Formats: sequence, structure tokens, C-alpha cells
Amino acid sequence: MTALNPEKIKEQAKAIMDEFVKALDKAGEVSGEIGLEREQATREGKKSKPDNDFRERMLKNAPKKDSDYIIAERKSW
Amino acid sequence: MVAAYSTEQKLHLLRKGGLSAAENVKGFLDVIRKKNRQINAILHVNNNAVAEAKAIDKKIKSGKAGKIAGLAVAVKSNISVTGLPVTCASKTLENYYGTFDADAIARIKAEDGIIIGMANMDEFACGSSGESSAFGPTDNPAAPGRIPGGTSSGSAASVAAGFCDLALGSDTGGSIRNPASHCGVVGLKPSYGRVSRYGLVDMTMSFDQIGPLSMDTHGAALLLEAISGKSGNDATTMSKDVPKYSQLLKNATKGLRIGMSAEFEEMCSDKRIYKLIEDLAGKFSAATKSSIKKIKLPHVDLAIQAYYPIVYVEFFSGTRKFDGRKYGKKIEDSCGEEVLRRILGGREISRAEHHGTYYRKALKARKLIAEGFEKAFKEVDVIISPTTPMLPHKLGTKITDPRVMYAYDAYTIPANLAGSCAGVVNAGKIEGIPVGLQIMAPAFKEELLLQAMAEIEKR
Repeated sequence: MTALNPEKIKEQAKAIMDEFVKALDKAGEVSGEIGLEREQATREGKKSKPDNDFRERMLKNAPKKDSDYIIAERKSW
Repeated sequence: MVAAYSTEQKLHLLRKGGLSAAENVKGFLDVIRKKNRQINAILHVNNNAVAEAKAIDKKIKSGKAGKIAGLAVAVKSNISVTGLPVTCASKTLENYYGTFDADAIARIKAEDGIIIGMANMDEFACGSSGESSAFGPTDNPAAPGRIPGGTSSGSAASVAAGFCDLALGSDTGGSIRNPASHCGVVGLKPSYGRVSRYGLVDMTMSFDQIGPLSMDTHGAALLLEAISGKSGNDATTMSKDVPKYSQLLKNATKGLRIGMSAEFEEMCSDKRIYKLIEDLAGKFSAATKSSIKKIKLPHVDLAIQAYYPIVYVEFFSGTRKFDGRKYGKKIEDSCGEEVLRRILGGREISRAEHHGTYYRKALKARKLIAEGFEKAFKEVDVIISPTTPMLPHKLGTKITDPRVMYAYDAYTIPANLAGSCAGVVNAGKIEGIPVGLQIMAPAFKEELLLQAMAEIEKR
């Protein structure tokens, strides 16, 4: 598999975005809100039933763990 | 690939004891064993599927089974299923197993559907060909050697290859409809807010919807009925009632006002596709005493340009959780080119120095396009168009410019921008390759959409 060149990919992505957004200039202006319509902004506060196996499943996915703790190196990401 | 039974026939057999759920699942597992190596539609088989089917057989015998009891469902690998790999077809999550059931999965299980396996897809739902999976491309069972489309490539191919009765996909800009068209199956993108996105790995949260794929409209209607409805887990779901879509299919579709857009005709690179769609629309109109009207859809030629800046920004935001701490690997270190392009592009255009210019301009254009559709739906009941402007290319074709791939989405993106529902049924073939006809209906008019799809399916 060819190694990716992030700098080149970033430049290409920016060029595509610049081209697309320039094309949008001919779309004109809109009035009113431009967000999504929704009935509520928050999730309902209903309590779900506790899942006793969730912790085990979650820990199985952890790259590094120590008993009940997930280990991550500070600032490594 | 012709299914041995229609969905309705299969359900009848299961309910009456002519076929057990266990036999049904074993049959599909056998076909997967024989053909999946070539097609690569299924990434992981549910090893517990037969045991689950046997439990459902007991429920069927007792007369207390759900509406899709015994049917086998393939699930796109970006939808969480407890205990099965939810890899998004990426090395980033290659060792990640679902810790909970997505709402759509919980609802399938509540209606006694059986998850047969996790389907291949374009990596993190970024693409439109089915070639960018980290676990190899999927072949098109209906046009071998050609792309199946994407990003629900494995879901569509699984249905077409006879690996399952039904499949779940997700659609952000056409990712159910595009592969449904290329593979010659039925696919439907619900209205935004119809189906809960809880448990779906976001591609673009303001566009994504989970939806059904099937060999026939009845199957799609049944699966949509099972998974739809308000959820306390997803604040973007709407509290509108869920009609019994599968039963409403029997209602006659007559006297529809069918819209066809001059702008869409101009956008079709392969004129043979447009002619095929136009001819079928004409037959449908004549058979149902409907009328076809030429409509204007202003700015729809800017759909791709409005869509991708929103995608880049929201995808960048949605992927910040893949930092390799709690699960998986750091996405930037383990993903493919298109995923990286969207992350780096999204990061770049959402920098503070740009003051939200890119995203805001795209949102404005989105609103203009959505308003155009709202106005059009006052003049017509449904809008018919091709699904893609060109035939699927051969697998392995070298395409270096991403805009060539983005162009596949020209007809499908508008429904996502508008939040409306849209479905695809097979319209015939060109050069032996399936071509899908797309129908769009206003938001939360899935019953009208499905009735029209069922009627066109008969032609």
C-alpha cells in the first residue's frame, strides 16, 4: 500500500473546498435560520436499564488497560 | 440474481412452517461460504445466527413472533451490534467490537429479525464505489467486475448475491441508493429524523440516515416499519407516527403529479440512462393515470458544492473520538486517503481564521436547494430522476481526482440536503448493467414513496 502524503492531501482538499465554495457565490442570499429543524435540543432524561456486561465489553476494546482502568499516555494524541 | 422467493412469500413460508428460521439462516450461510470470497460483501458472519434462529422458531410456533421473524438481515459495519465487529471497514477499528445495540438493531431484534453478519462498506462511509474498504473491495454480483457502488456496498451486494433477505445501510449523500442502483436492488433513504441514528458511527450528522435494502419494495417497507420511530437516544428523531408501510403498499397509486426536472436531464452524462428513466416514468404515469410535469429545481446543480464542505467539517468533528485511547487506533495514522482528505480538509476549513465562511456558505446553499424542493413539492407529489449520472466503472479503474467520484452523487445528494425521503427501484439494464430509478417524496411521506416504488416495480 502506497504511503499517504498528508501535506499533499491537505492541499488538494483545500483546493477542492475553495473551488466548491467559490461556485456557491452564485447561489445568492437566504433569509431566516439556516440550522436543522428539530423538536427538541436535548435527549430525553429517561434512565435506561443498567447493562452489567457493558464494562467488560468496553474494557475488551481498550488498547491498554490495567484491571478496571484504561491506560493512555498523557498528550500522546 | 433472482431471489427464490419474494419477501412476502418468504414470510408466509416462515409463518406457516414451510421453512424454519434455522433452515433459512443455514441456507444463507451456505451461499455466503460458497460465494463471499469472490464478492467480499460480508466482513464477519454472526456465528450465533443459527442458535438465534432456533430461538425465533419457537416464538413462531407459539404464534408470538415479530413482523420480520426469521428473516436474515445483513448490517453495514458502521452500525453497532453488541459483540460483532463494528469496523467501519477501517484499520482504525479493526479490533473494535460493538458494546451496545444501535436503536435500529434493537428494533430488528424486537421484531425477531436475525443479524446474519456485518457487511463491507467504503471506509467510514467515505466514498461512492465500494473500493475504499481496508478489507478489500466488494464485487458487484449483478455486474461482475464492476463496482457495486457505495458506501453501503456490502449491504447492496449481499442482497443481490442472495446472502440475506434484507440489509441495513446508511445514506449521507446516496450511500444506500447508489449501490442499490448499481446492484439492481431496492434501497430507501428515510426522511431525516425518521430513523434513530443512535449507534450509527457518524459520517455527517446532519445528513446521515439508516435505511433498508431488499430485493423488493415489500421487504424495504417491512424493515423501515421495524426500525422507524422516535427515540429518546436521538434528539433529532421526530415524534411522527410510524405508518404500517408494508400494509399500505396495497393501496392503489393513481393520479399522481410526477415531477421531472430539466436541470436533472442536463446533468446526466450518459444520456442512455436518462432515456431509460424517462421511458419507465412514462409507463408508470400511463398505468396509474398520473401526469408528468416539467419542474424547475433552482441551484440543484450546486448540490455537490453545497454538500461537501458540510461533510468535510462535520466528518472532521465526528472523528475526533478516534484518538486510539479508549478503543481502536488514532484515525489519522490508520485510515485511507479519502478519509484523511476529509479530516484534513475539514480541519483546515473550520479553522478560526476562516470565521466559519466555508460551512456557513454551504449551509446557505443547502437552505436554498431545500426551499427549491419544498416549492416543487407543492406542484408535484413525487420527483423522478436517475440515481447516478453514469454507469458504474470497472473495479480497479484508476481515478486520481476525487471530484470524479463526487460526481456520482449529483442526483442523490439533493434529498439529503432537503431532508426528504428517496428510494430506488431497478429500471432495467444498459450493457447488462443494472440502472436504478430514483423517486423522491416530501419529508415523512414514506408511505407515498413506497406505494410509487411498488407500482414502478411491477413494470
